Amino acid sequence: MTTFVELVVNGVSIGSVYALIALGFVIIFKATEVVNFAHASLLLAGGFITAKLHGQLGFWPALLVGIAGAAVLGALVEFLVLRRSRAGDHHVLAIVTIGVDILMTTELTRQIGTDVLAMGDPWQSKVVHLGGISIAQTRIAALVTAATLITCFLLAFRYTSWGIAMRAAAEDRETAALMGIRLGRVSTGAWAVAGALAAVAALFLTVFPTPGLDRTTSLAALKAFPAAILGGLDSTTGALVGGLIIGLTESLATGYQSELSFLGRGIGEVAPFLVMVIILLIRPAGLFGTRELARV
Amino acid sequence: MSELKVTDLTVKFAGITALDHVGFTVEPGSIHAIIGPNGAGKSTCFNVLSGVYKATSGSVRFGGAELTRMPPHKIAALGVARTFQNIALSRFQSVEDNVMLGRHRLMRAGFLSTGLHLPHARREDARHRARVREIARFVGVAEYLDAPVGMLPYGVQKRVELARALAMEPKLLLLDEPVAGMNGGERRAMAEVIVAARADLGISILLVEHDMGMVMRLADQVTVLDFGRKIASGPPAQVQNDPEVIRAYLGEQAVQQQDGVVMAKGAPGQAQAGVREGALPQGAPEASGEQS
Amino acid sequence: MSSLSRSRMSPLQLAGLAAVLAVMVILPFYAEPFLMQAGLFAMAAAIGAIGLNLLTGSTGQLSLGHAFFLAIGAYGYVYFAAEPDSAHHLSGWGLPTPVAAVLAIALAGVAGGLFSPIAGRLKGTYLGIASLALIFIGQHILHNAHAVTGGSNGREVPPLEIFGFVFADTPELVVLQVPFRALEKLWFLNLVLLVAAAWIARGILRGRPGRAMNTIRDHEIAAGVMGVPVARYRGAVFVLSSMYAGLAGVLLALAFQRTVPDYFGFILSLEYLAMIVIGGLGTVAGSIVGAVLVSMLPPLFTRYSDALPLIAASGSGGLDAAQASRILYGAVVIAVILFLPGGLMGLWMRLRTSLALRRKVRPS
Repeated sequence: MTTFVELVVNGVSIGSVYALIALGFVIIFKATEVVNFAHASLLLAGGFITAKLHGQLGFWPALLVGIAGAAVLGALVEFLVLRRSRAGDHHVLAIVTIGVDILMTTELTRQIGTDVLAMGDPWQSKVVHLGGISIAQTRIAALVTAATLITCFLLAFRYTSWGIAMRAAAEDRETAALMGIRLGRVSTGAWAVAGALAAVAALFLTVFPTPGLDRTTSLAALKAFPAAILGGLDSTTGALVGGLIIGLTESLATGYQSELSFLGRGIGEVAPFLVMVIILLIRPAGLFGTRELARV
Repeated sequence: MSELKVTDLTVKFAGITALDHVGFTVEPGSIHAIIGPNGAGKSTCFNVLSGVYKATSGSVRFGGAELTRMPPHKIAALGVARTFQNIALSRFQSVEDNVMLGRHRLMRAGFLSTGLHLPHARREDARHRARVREIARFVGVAEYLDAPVGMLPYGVQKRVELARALAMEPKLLLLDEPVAGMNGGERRAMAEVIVAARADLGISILLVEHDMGMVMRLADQVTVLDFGRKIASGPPAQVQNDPEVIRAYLGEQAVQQQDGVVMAKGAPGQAQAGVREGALPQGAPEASGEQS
Repeated sequence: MSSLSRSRMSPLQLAGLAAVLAVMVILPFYAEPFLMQAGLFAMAAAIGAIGLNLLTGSTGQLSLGHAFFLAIGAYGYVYFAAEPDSAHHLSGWGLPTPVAAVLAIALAGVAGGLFSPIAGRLKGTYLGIASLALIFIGQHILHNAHAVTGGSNGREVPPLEIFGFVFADTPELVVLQVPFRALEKLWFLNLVLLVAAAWIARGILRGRPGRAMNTIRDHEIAAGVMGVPVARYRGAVFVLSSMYAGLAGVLLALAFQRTVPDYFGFILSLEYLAMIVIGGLGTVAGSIVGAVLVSMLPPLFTRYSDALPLIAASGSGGLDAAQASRILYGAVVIAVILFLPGGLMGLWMRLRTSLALRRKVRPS
């Protein structure tokens, strides 16, 4: 029983990290209608900066630089690449992000090489014992951080002028522009926010119990795509629910791997994608996504 | 040829009732117009008829089938064709290929026969291309056949859409604002084609239009919608004088100025712009009393 | 993406095609093995690219799962053709290799068919991301199903044998005083299959299915209203594209002589997307051009790494050939989309039309 509770807690914790990534992904989609296939490499960039700098600057400054770096990188991609595109069609822009992803991932994995980089975090491998179950401190930190950030953003969406501008742009770009909303700023802001969230997520994906940041980290981040999709690409609630579902699935599947060994080793990595496929079969637009009503 | 019978059609979405128990009948071989102020539900009605929207309740019967339960391609198979208010052509394909799409349900070549370049597929293609060229001539776009559609002027694109719909050899033709955005000469040409299509091919035509002059001249029956509800129905002259209709339109609609348009029942292929003299189509009021 | 080329090929085009074919036939007699190997990969990739272009370029269905179907083709062939090997705990059906190849392609098609209820119902980018699932499921199966796939080490590929003619180094064949080994023999097989694959794709695109596919891409609702059963078509194109990938997979396996699971990952899917974008979405010629460019880059960079300033040997910490080529084609993808949306074939078509216009305008 304790195992089950531990797995659930871990699942919720890792799910909240996926929710962070998915949230950034959905923010970009809502603000600019682009599916950002370069999201995983943004994440890797943020984590890489933190990993490289914590030796010199100390952990917290390094983390801040990593977050800022990823935010700037995201904003740059939006400003330099996407805005320039004459192709208004967002399917085509999605392919641009694929090009960006190829570029960034190749360069970053080259820099990382075969190293496994430590993140220099203060929680290290300390474990907390609560009522018979053991949870890594990093997991608690992840959950608390993610929950705080997500709450902040949801509040910001509702109550700040930036949040309103974002939602207006997501609803109807033309009208928003006519009402005086600077679409360019909204887009850049969205990408910057997404980059920042991804950098935070990168931290929690690479601390204990994982060995550290290595070239496979961006693959781990790819699991956030099913999280965003099964919740519905344009739903922030969906990103959160999706993240939790994916996190729980992965945690439970990995935890009970020995019982599920007939399905093969590493079933925890695949299970999230299977869950996504099943949900999409039932609800093709995701759990909370809006089913498109086309205008003809 | 069968009638289109719409009964009690209701469409609700996102908290709006777009159509509220609307009913009307299109007699076989007639031209029936749906008019109403913007937002009255005319395009919604068309979208339900062609299967793009789902009806909340009500029935649409055509050719012995219930259209509200059918997907768009099955409705097309019954012989229902439509044009779109905002042009729905394939921008990157040529005019000829776009119109050839209208022949899709009339042709049978599939992946295997086209992939293997089988002679019967090639012959079928050639046969239907010949017919498409005829239709293009009839509608007046023959000179643009090779051009990618996206590059052509708006008025030409609208005619290509009409050609594509006619290429389906439909029994019922739904025209969604066929002359929107066209100038006077283009409107005359389009009206001639529509009349000729009905005369030569015997198709029933359901028409959404804002151009009152054209509606009054072409339509045998008119249904008026306002806020999703039918407020009047009958021959054009009767509807024109209906107090409900006048109230719905008064002060809202910028009415187009129409020259006196006199239409001839010409032979196919003569859909050229220009005023012609000749017999008036039956049932239409005199040209002079048109300004509304 | 234009369908202007619906008429027969012009004399100039036919001459060009003949010249290219002539070069392709003569090359094996003169080229060194490294070029031959690269060429084999390029031709196999071209077939795969044509398939992906039918799906993504012509029908507008973004798929990131192409590598999955390539893997089915490759591993399917090995499994159906290999004899069981109890020493290594490997199973196989031991079928005649041509039968195994056909079965592998059919299997890829069936897999595409199984995915097509999803393919038929999901829109645009939802489909793209859902197809990611295929990659991960594929990787999972490839690494775990030891008996079939050989696990992480992969398996050896049985050489193809048709009516006693073996596509391997022995028995040796000498043509016009040039020894024909596996590479040369496979070269002609790939060439014939590529021409056939291109011919079929062209026929489909120029006929009734092609028009339906293009309209599904450009205006799906209009396609449905005009009588195209959209979901069925999307599923069918998925199956077709998977079968092309299956054939490409078989040829890749024959060229590699060994199948390895890590090859068929996410990056491979991205490579094929890059090929069709660079070459030109929706065109058969573009798929071939893009495939040749993208697959020839790594071997060319490796070969001439001494001469090229930026490229260092693999693992030395500098930019190695594979990474350099990826960065290059990643950048080219971005550049093409931003500045040349029709890809290289689009540029070519524009040149042709402007030349034709100039010829018309100039007084004779």
